[in-house]
Amino acid sequence: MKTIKKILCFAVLISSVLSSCIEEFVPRDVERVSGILIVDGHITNDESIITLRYSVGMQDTLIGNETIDHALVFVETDKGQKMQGVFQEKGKYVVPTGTLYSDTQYKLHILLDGQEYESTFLFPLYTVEIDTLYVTKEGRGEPVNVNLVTHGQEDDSKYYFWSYNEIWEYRAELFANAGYIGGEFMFFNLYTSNNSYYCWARNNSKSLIVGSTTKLSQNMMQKKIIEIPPNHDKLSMLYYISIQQKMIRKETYDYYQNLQNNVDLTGSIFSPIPAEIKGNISCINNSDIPVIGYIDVTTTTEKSLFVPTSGELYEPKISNCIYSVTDDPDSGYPIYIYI
Amino acid sequence: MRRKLIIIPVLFLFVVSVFAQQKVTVRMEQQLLTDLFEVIEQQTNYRIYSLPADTDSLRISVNVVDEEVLTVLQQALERTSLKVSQYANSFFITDSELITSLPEGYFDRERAIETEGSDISGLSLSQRTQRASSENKVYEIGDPSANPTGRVNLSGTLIDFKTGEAVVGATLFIEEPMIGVTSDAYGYYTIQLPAGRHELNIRGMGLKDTRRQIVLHSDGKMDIELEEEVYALREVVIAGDRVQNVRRTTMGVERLQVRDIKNIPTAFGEVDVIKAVLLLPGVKSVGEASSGFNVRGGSTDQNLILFNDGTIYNPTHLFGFFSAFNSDLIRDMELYKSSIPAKYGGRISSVLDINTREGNKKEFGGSASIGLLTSSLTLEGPLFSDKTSYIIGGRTTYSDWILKQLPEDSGYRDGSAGFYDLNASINHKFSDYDNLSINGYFSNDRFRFTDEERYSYQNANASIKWRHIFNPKLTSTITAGYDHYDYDTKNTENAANAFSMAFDINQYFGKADFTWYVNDQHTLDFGMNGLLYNLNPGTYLPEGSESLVVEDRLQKEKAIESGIYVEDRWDILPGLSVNAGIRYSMFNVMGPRDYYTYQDEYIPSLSTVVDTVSVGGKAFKTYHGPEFRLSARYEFDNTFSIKAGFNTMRQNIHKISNTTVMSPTDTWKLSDANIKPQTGSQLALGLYKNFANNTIETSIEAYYKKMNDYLDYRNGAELLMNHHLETDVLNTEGRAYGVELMVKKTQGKLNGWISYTYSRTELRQNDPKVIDPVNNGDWYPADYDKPHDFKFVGNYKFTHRFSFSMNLDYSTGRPITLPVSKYNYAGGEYVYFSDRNKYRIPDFFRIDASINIEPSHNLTKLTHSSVSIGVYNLTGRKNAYSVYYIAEEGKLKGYKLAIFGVPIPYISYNIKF
Repeated sequence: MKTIKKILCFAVLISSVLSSCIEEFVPRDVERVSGILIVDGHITNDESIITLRYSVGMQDTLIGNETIDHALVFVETDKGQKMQGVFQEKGKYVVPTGTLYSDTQYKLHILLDGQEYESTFLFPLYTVEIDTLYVTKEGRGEPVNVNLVTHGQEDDSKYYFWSYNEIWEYRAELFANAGYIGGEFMFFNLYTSNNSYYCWARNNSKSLIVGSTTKLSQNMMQKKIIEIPPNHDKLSMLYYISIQQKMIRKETYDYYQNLQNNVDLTGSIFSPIPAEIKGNISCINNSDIPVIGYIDVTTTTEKSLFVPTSGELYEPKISNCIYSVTDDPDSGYPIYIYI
Repeated sequence: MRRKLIIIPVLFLFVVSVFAQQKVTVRMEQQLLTDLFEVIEQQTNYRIYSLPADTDSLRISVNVVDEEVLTVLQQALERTSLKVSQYANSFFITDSELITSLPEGYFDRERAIETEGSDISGLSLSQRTQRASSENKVYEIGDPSANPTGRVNLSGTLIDFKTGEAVVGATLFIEEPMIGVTSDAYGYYTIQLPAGRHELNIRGMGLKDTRRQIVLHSDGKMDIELEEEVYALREVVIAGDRVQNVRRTTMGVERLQVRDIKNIPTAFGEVDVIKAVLLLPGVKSVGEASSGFNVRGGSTDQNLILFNDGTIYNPTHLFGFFSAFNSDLIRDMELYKSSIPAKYGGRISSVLDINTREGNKKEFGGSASIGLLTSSLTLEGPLFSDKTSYIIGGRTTYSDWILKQLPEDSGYRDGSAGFYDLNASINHKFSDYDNLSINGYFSNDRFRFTDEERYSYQNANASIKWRHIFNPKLTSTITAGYDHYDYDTKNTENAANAFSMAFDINQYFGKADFTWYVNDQHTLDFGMNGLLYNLNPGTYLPEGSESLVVEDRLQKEKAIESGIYVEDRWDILPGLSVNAGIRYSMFNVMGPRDYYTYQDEYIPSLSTVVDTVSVGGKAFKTYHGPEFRLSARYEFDNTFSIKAGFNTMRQNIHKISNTTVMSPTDTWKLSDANIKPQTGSQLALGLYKNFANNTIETSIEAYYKKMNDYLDYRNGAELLMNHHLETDVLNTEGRAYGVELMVKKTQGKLNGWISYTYSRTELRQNDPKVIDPVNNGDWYPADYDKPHDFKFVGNYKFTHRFSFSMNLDYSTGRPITLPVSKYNYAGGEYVYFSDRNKYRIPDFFRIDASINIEPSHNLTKLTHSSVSIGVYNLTGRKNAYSVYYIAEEGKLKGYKLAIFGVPIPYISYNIKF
């Protein structure tokens, strides 16, 4: 719960007045558990992207290669249809699910290393469109928030899940108009691939963003999705965000909420005691093998927004794109190297 | 006149008969005189006092068989210049003879007054009360013409000579035969003694050891005025009732007076009753910032915390950094860990009974203290006459300065936090037989982080208590009162979701407790009590006009808890005593209410609902059962005893929490149609031995405890605003066992205690209906399972004004659940957890020290001030409170949190006027 989090932050702050009482620490003698199958994704309309990975020990570093490339992934229906996923890259399997029918139950079926894994059969949920995306900023020096408003019907699910992709354009601190390319001195043209002045960066959501309207009189959600610090280079030239919305089941919501709490709210004074909740996917030939993931069946809606280029939202700040500066041994001029 | 003449010889004969019983047989040739003393002291109860300079080189010869000691001594010293004087059980060897008798006619004067009084009032002597204040006077009690056979009753009140307050928990005893009693919560005592002359010894915490000489003719009353130990103003006298340790029948009872804990160094220098309780063996907490405590493996909600008979649901201020009780007003507290008297019920682990002082009945006074975080003021004095007194006290914090120290970008600088508490008591003594007190308590905590987010909670209690003495053998206490606890949360950060949430408990109680001193072998406690619970488990309301929050109110919960009990303290044989009690408790769950019924073969969940039942305003579910409280003691001698105890308990109110400590938004739930009461039983055994004239007490206690139907939450449970909480909780069973070793030094320049505890507490979800129990249904350690626990509390007095205090605390780190594996999911890093509480945080170790400067003892000074300067966590060890992983920008990082990771110096100043 958010309130609890605030209290614990406060309690920690009281004590940290006197010193920094939180320090980085890696507990020793903890069993190294690795290789647990992680099933990430949902069965959704058009294409369902399912990513398979495995877990690593706490002392290890996740470097992105913990992916499983040799599984067989299917989406199956209670009407006997079977759609096979196509492996793409980095553990990603794309299943052409097409339209989800309201009278049909869907489940995920995975074959991996002689074991079979299945999610529970579920009817699809039909996600409503996002009504609006809008930005707010309380004043100069304050962060910019990207918010959304969405509303469903009373009988729709009251639980929502969002993810986003963002792309932003920013600028190098200095414009290099010439340099060596392949040993040849050249003048750069901004509008060719020689451009090292305009930069584009991408990012996507790094946590499970969920919300619920169960406590509200209408199934209407107002939610802050992301907060951008005022001096971030996301807000130096142009910022774009695309938000995907899925209505989910209570069980999925609880599962996500728990996963998120387990890495957000642990350790402090009033923290709930962390716990594992089982997802809806399990190994059908050996129930002792743990599997992580909750495969909901729901459609996806999406809305995107360019944050308007107003001076109020973009507080001018030129980002430092310079990677290094060296003197050219021949000419003696400084050379700026950008990334 | 004739009557008198008869009496005195009777008295004289009796005295002689008491003292003349012991004879010695000695044969010595030219041996040291001191050897003779040794022989006599071995053969008799007499003690011989002499100046070594006079006696250690003298050699004597004696040869007597079965001879009076006095004669032997006189014979031995015949050829020396030394003289023998006898006084009671002592002989004094001096240059000149001492006068050991009272001036002639002394008793005549006393008697004359007594007779006059009785003539006028027409009352027999036994109904008059004397006030005994002198050690050197012989007080006659009762009607000298009575010729009692067997034992007679002596009763009265122990009173503080200076303030007129009752002295509670002091022991009165005679040595031959060994008979002892303890004064009750009103200072009242009743002792049954053989008629005749006695030396009545009185021992009590912070009291000068003293005695009164009495001659008992028949049943009578005697109030005894006692003096505080002169330097006891702030002294750590850990257990003045040192004989009690061995003697009392009950076990696992810890009694602390507030003056005992004043010197214990604490964080920020706040004298804190609950922090002091945590230093006792068998009491643990999960971490430093929690005033919730665990007694012998019980959870925090299994402790009944009584403050002047009112139940306190949240004993903390400021999230557990301070306890909610103002120590300036507290007289004493008792923690029952094992032998819980039958008059208490409702919790299965322990009872912490905290009582405030009565106001000074003789003169106006007060005290004030200034600390780093709080200030307090206490005023007391007589009201109208010396029969009525009041005491009021208040305490408030100025902790806002802490928030102002926070960095600006923390977002908390606009926040504020604060608390205050108020106490008021009025005490009126109608007569020797009737005493009335009215107590009130209120505490408030508020905190907000920003204007948009506010929290507050309140405790309030009011009670009225009437104490009546029917006759010296039968006393009663009738109490009625009201307890309240509530909390309130408001969040207006987001206009559409703005809400306020509130929870409250209101309860009304009545108790009637009687004590009947049946005879010298039996003392009966009996009575009944009733408690009406009225819980508002939660209201969730929209805040502001734009809020879309739907008003949600959980159904009110109502129940009546009642109990009747009887308990007998039975002295079967000299040395063997038994305390046997039974309490029958009943819990009626009252409507109106709608509730679900579930399929029997499954645990309650929304998919197993069978039906909804609606009941009107009547009892719809009853739980009842007996509770047994048994303990026995066998005393081998004055300094050595063995005790055993067994008790069973029931609890009908449960705190449901998924946090490790008591948090301000914890929910309490009454047992109902779907939630059973929890029960507990404990078996304990102990050995008690005192050394060095009872100044060193040692004890070893072992216990085994079982808990059933303890309510634990299910993984991922929704605990707030849940209309069917039974679907989110599980019944768990628990077991706890341990051994507590303790050595206490109660007197001397150095005093304090050392304790070591080995204990385990484990829980198990073994309900076969549970499909996925915690840790596969195996036993797992509870959050507060810390097997090794070592505590030292000490005070060294350099002079009467300067003392040094230190405590040391070591324990095994508490169990935690740590992640064992991590993975990428939805763009971020997440973790997979081990079994519950499989790992432990690093061990805990802390030393605190303080220097205390006491006021000058000049009584004529108007004010007395004392200063305490100390350091909490002297070594600055960063004791882990928890070890955990947090995701930052999708990446996991491991951390260790220490609550007080640096030495924290403090100074506090107290002034008494």
